[in-house]
Amino acid sequence: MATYFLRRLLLLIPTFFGATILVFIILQLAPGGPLEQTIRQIQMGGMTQGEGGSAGAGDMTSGGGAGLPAEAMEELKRFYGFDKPIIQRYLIWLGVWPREHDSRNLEFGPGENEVEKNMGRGQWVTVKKTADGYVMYNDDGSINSDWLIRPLDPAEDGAARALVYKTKLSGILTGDLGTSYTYMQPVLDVMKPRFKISIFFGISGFLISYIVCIPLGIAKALRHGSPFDLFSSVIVFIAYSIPGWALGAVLLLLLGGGSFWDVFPLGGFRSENWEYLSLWGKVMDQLYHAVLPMIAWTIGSFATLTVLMKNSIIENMSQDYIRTAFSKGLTEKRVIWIHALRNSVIPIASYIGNVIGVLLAGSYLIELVFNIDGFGKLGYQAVLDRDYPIVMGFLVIAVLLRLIGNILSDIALATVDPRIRFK
Amino acid sequence: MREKLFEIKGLKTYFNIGGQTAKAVDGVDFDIYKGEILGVVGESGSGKSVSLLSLIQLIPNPPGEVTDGEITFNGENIFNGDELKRIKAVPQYRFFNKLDVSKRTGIAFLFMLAWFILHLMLPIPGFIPFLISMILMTGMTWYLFFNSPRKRHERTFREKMYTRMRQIRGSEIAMIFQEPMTSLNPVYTIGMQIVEAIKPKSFGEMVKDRIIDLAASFRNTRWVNKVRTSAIVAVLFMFFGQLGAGWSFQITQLISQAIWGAALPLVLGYLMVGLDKLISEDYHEEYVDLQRQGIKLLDQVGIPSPETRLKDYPHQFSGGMRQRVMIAMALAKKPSLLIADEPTTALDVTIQAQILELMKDIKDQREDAAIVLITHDLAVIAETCERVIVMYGGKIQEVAEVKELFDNPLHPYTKGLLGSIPRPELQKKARLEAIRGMVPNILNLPEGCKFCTRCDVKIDKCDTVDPDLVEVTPGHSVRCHLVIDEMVAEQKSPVSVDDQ
Amino acid sequence: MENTATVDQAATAQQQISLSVLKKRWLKFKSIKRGYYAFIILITAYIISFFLPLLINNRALVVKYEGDIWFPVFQGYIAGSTFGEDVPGEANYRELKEKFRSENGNWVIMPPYPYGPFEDVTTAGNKMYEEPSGVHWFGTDNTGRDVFSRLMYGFNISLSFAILFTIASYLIGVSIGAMMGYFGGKFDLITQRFIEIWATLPFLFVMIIISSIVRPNFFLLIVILTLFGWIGMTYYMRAEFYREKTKDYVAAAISMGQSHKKIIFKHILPNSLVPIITYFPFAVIGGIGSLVGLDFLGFGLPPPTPSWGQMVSVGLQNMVKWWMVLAPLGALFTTLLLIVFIGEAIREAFDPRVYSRLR
Repeated sequence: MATYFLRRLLLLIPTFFGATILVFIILQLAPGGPLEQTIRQIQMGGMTQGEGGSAGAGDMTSGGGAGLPAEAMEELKRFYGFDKPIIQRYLIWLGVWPREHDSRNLEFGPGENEVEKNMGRGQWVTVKKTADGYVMYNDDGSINSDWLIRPLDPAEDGAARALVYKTKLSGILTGDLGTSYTYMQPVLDVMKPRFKISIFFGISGFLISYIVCIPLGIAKALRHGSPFDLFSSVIVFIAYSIPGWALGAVLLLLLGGGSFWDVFPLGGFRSENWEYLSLWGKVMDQLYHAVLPMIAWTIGSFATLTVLMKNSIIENMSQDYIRTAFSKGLTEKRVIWIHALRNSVIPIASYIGNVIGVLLAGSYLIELVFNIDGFGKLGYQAVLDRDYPIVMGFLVIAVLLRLIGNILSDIALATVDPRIRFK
Repeated sequence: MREKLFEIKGLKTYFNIGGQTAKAVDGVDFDIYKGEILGVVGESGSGKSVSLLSLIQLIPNPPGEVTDGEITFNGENIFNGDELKRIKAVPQYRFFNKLDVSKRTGIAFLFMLAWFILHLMLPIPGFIPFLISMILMTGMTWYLFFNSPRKRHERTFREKMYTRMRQIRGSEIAMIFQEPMTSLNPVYTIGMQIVEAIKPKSFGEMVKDRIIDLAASFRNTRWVNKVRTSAIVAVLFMFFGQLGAGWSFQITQLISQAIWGAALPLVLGYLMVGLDKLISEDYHEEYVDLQRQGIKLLDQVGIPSPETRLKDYPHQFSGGMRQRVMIAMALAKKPSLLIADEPTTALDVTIQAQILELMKDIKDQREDAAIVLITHDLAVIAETCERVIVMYGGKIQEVAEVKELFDNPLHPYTKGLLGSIPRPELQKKARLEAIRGMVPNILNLPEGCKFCTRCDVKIDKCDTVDPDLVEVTPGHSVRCHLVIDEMVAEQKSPVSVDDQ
Repeated sequence: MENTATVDQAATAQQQISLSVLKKRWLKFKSIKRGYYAFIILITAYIISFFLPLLINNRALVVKYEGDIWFPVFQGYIAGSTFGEDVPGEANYRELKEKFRSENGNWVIMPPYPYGPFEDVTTAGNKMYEEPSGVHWFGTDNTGRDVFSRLMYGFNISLSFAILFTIASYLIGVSIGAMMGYFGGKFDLITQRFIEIWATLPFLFVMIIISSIVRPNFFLLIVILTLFGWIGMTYYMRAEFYREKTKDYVAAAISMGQSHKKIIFKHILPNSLVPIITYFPFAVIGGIGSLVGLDFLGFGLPPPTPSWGQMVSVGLQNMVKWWMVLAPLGALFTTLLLIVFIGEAIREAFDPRVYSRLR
């Protein structure tokens, strides 16, 4: 079994790279990326200030930042990382290719071979241009090797330009997801609070659906054809027919105080004055806000899980080993809960991983409906804003969760089914 | 005359298949005597398995049901069909008894919908009254359409019967099934399933057993292996720790990660040992005792190195070995009746003989134990049984001692069965006399004699009138018009064995 | 007498056996009333929805004006001035009808429900946020468009979309899954890896990314959704083909030297139809769900296409106007429920489960 898991673990690596490369390429090659968007914004800003917005739309569509000075373009490109080939960009993003940071422009006047530059914290350096490159000297005349220098395209007036920068290996493999363009914060810092919210809903939704569905499925299977079964089947059908977010919208409309009853709040994760509530108040407020989103969250897996459990129990109850168990004189309770159930949770166990993947994927719509500042909404907003570091970070986490989910499924499956354990 | 262990009268078991009734067993009377080996023979679909399964109520309900008959075990009545009939006379639903299930559900649904729409039309006072009204509606619908006065009586009757049956199953009647490959629960060890047959353990006790097992295996692991496991976990911890910390490679971090990793398996192991210490000494003794009994049972049915096999799972056993395990489980409580439902059909011929030998050995352990062997193989019957019941179409066609049956078969079906055994002493050129035709569909059995569609010697009466089972000589009964007519011709008055 | 009855019974039984398997299943499906009626209702509604312009439209069916007969529904845009109307742009046929009522010889025949899905407040007489009434059955939305009319057109679009999408993803999924199962080996291994990568991507998220880059139309959206939709079917088909491949009839076909193509399509595929048929309705449900979800997010069909998701998203911004949320969601729910009923009945007909319980 150890080799089986080792193989599964090793297979994760190519899957991870494959998935990230795919999305990376889609994002980087697609038109209308962050660069274009910023250029457009700057142009718009310039126009509205300078010419009172009289410029036609023709200018804007010409693209390529026609109205921007070349240096500003270059600066922007460097900021968004578009100054390097795509493979290099991917490697930098991964963290196996050094990432430039703390970069500063150097400009040599015409004929000048030496420039003094303040490198921050009162440190001044002198950069000399020699035949075979640039050398940096400290104040005391010693050679400074902390910084790297590479030449840039000369300015329009022919002056030589260079870039001073530091490098470090910093990317996904070193736990750095980059810096968000819109929030100007490390992506992880942006994600953390939102991730907590999604985890709250994800885990409690997961627990609720399992706690409800497994007993419900068993009860339905054992009372197949009874009024109880028919009645709950209606609910299951309805739950299957209506997407979670749509149900959320209906509930919000009916119970959120819009047109009908005012029972639950209209949205949000907590009240605004949450901080000032007593502990009991905090708990109640949280629950109060969570009821409707939670129903929307669980409804999808509710139908699937219940039906899966019911069918699974029904199938197992007609197996030969159940007859053997009864022929041993065991009580019905024991046969159901110890013999049939353990076999019936095998398909459920392989569903566990799915749930973890769905934890994120299914949440955009619900978070939008209920206006919850969760993980899904962050990703959605990032796509709208072309905030690629967050988009890629979101993707990485989604892919990782999916992969972890698969492994969890395998582990759960191996725990309940010895036939897999001894493969 | 030997003592009767079981007395079965007029047993009927019907199955409901897609709205039609399949009369799998349709009025069967027979006795099982203490200490005998009784053979039940017939083609598949003849009702031989079902009638014996009905005996201990191992009929899936739904779709099947033992509808009528009387079963007496050691003088105690354990199933009384008359009582069931009385209960069934009560109407099923409180109201609208003429509606069938689908119409009933439809109308109930419409009723609920109407109530709901009524709510939308009328001004709604508030959410809570609305909820209360919905709950009221649900209750009302249930009461009007689904409340069944009969159900409660039926449930108590069944509950009582099944409760008694579960006491009898295993301890008094044990069963071995045809399919050893699927008859064992694939997710539990052989040991657990055998011990369960001796003493079913609660969930808490199963957890305790697991702790005892784990603690024992930890104690028995050599230190080399423990260290190796620790090392592997430590490396894994270091790897994932560094992944999380962004490959800092700080020495202190690395060391702490390694220590945590290395400690984890050991801590878990000692935790198990500690928990093991908490379990009472009595329970330990009981555990060891049950294990020993299990090992003894496995040893008895001839499974090599039973101590280690006890911890194996069913899929690690071959078919023959699994059937042995089934037998071991059946023998756990030394039952007074062992029903073997085609125990050798799915097995190799060499294994078959061993299994049959094994079953005969059981008799050595308990003198008055009876065995019922259900099979379609007359050779097996000839070799093992003392008395034979021939079944066809859900009815007993012939009952006789083995020798009598083979020497003097009376029913055309029995003759046909005997004729279809290949006999090497006969000339090779002689064709086997197979019974022509196929077993009729169980939903579509003939009106008269069940065998009339395939019988070569049938007379007109056979199509419409089902003959009675009559005793020809003491201990030899047969159900055939020809035999009855012959007896009438010989001026003997045929005595019906059938009750009705 | 009884004898003939038995013979008759036997004959019908014989007949039942000789019916083709598919026919038998169709009969079984018909016997499950809930699913069968749902099927009838849905199919009828779907067929009718193709003739919606004749039923729900703001363009008149027939106009008789000064001796000439016009068919605006088929002819399309006709300027108001043609009919002597003093309106800019297209004629307003409802007003025309009122006007012609008093005139002799001129008349207008309007569709039964004379409001189109696209006409907004710019048309005279249309108001924003009108409550449901006899005129506007489900009220009007934030731009004065008739909700009922949009709903009905949205039904056709959603269902057509989902069916086309399902067929497209089935074509790809079934053939790739079949090949994986049939050929096995390296092809299977590589495709499996690829599918694993593909399936790991969060589907809706990547859809959003793609849709935000290229503004999709109806068919492009089907293509994009199909890119992800085909995967589900491959698992089933692969498993089916693996199982069927080992059976004797395939070995017989191979031993007779038949081509791979023939074995796959003529021998194995008809035997692995059950998952294809039973999952079809549920795949359609998934298709409708995805479309409505994307529309809701604003990445679906371009406006002003009448789409349920976009209607919900507008409605949610106006929570007080309940009809704008409840109407499209009600339509979505009803449609999906009907399909669930059909799907359940099909599953029951093709893959019946016997409920048996020991005690």
